[in-house]
Amino acid sequence: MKLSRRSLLGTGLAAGAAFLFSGDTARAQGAQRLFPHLDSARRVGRQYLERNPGEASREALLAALDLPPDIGWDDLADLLPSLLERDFRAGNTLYVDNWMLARCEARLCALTVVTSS
Amino acid sequence: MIDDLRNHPDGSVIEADLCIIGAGPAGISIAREFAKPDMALSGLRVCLIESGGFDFDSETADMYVGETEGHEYYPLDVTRLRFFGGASNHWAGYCIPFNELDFQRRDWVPDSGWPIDYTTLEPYYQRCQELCQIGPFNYNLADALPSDLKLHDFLPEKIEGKVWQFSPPTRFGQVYRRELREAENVRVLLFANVTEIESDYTARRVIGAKLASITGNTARVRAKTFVLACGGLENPRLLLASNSVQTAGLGNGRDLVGRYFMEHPEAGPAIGVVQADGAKVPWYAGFHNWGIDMMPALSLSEEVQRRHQCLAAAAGIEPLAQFQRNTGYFALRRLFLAFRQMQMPENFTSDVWHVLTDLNDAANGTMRWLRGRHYRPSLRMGDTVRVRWRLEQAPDRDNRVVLSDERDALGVPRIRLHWRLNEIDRHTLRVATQVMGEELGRLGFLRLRVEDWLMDDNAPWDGDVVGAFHHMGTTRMSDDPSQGVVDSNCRVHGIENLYIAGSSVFPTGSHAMPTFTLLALALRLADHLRGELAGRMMVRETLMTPVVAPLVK
Repeated sequence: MKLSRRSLLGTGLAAGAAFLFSGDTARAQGAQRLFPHLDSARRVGRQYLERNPGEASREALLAALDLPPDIGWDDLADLLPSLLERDFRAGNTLYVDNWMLARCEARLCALTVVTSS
Repeated sequence: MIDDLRNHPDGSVIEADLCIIGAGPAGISIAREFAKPDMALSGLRVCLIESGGFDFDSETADMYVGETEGHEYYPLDVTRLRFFGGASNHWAGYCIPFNELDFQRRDWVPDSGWPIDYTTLEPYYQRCQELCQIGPFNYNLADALPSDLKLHDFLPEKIEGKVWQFSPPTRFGQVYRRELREAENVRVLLFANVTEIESDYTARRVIGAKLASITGNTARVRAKTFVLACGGLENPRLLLASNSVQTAGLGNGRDLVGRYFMEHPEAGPAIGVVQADGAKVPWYAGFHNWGIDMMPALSLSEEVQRRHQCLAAAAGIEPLAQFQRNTGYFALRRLFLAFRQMQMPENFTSDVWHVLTDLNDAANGTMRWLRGRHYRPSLRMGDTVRVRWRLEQAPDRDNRVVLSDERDALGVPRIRLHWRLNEIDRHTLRVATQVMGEELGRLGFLRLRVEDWLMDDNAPWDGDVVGAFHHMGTTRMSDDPSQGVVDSNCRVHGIENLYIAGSSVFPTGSHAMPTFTLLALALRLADHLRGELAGRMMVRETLMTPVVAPLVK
């Protein structure tokens, strides 16, 4: 009973989790350098914006991230590890689809939404 | 010496200075202390009473059958073993001392606080290292790791890196049998079930214990001092069933016997996905150093417990691939076994695929197998693990053992166990999962996904939240007789010569497996009894010495 449940969860989640946290970013361009699976990132971003409509602009999101308004995707990709470290250390997290995300991560996902529209 | 009640004439009386009821790890450890040469020479007679023999038998085990209600629990006879060595016969061997905070009164944990502190038990913990056949008295993960192994640096203010030391595990009934057999002053009485503890008419002194074998032999033990060491369910059962004089049960003047039952709820409410360092995952499932097996215990820090007003908890990280068996090594093994039996493998194509896509794991697993070592699957980015917690459970007066209307083969009432989990237990699991998720994310090691039932305030507890066969708290310790059944020396309040050994005296249970701490308490109790009984022997010898003797010299 437990094994089959584990197996099911394991199989389903491994696929689901890959959306944000893996991928070859070395040759990616733009937002894809941040999130190799851009569609998944946008899905997370939309959920974040639904809960935080006040941040539904590039300016608001970057301000909330305490970043300059003219920063580019490459710089964001370079900054991401330190942003993640800062948020996780401070416990600044939220849940999307039961996944624990750093708040900066969800905001960057939202950034992919507002910049693509 | 080893004795057998079935060989005694019906109605015989066995005399002893100390009668220990129950030959599990606690009872055997206390008896060993009296088998030492100085005690043997003192003339102190010890009787260690065991319900079963040297092996499992179903007729004896049936006396452990009972009812359960509340959160789903195991059949009570499955969680315990009623033969020489007791629960050590299925002990997994986990050893770690309680933390200092575990003994303290915590404002946010009702009914918490021991009447003794960590420093009182530490010397006994140290003695338990040898008793449990484990390594040095050091439970710091960083110290315990092999020098070439580096795991993650968790923030100590969030997660403390401790380590479980694994006993072989010591089967007390086997390892210490010879020692007790050869001790002239210790009688191990097998196949002897205590059916009642008899007190005098004031219920302030125990005068004997009624014995019966399944074959029908009856006897009585008379002793100066009694120790009840039958485990967290049987200790209250015997006290409650011994109600000839004190009708609520022996030592139960305050309606505390059987209450405050605690377990160690185990739950795996989060799946983790490997982001990096997949090769390190298997080391969280265990490693070998200092000549013993060990496993990291990632414990909630004292700071987290205080800040979030939660209980103690420790996590383990389990690779799911090991359970799914879809790793390169497992697939190779299946292919090998099938071909060796001249059969076509059941899942030939998928197994070949697993081997080819996981060659590294197939090679590593094979090398470890050839060296006789445990398999450790290599994990890659995207592979999944389960974060499994072992929680302290808050004391709850309504979690309790009571006598049922059913009786066992010898006429002793069976028990009914009521066990439920509470909001503070769920709060602890949430805090623990949150803090661990933050740390695993910060380290870039794993990302967690939490199961629905833990996210939802209104969801019931998941059925996979189970106990660990740990029965604690039912004769809790307090120096205040209105708060506890035994005092800080483990003596039953109001009864001058009845003591209790085992995890039933724990007022709170930590996250740590109980065996190591109950053994430390047993050694402490043995020291106390050695002093007390030796003192009585000296008084007796002095009184018996003729007063004219010095004049004759």
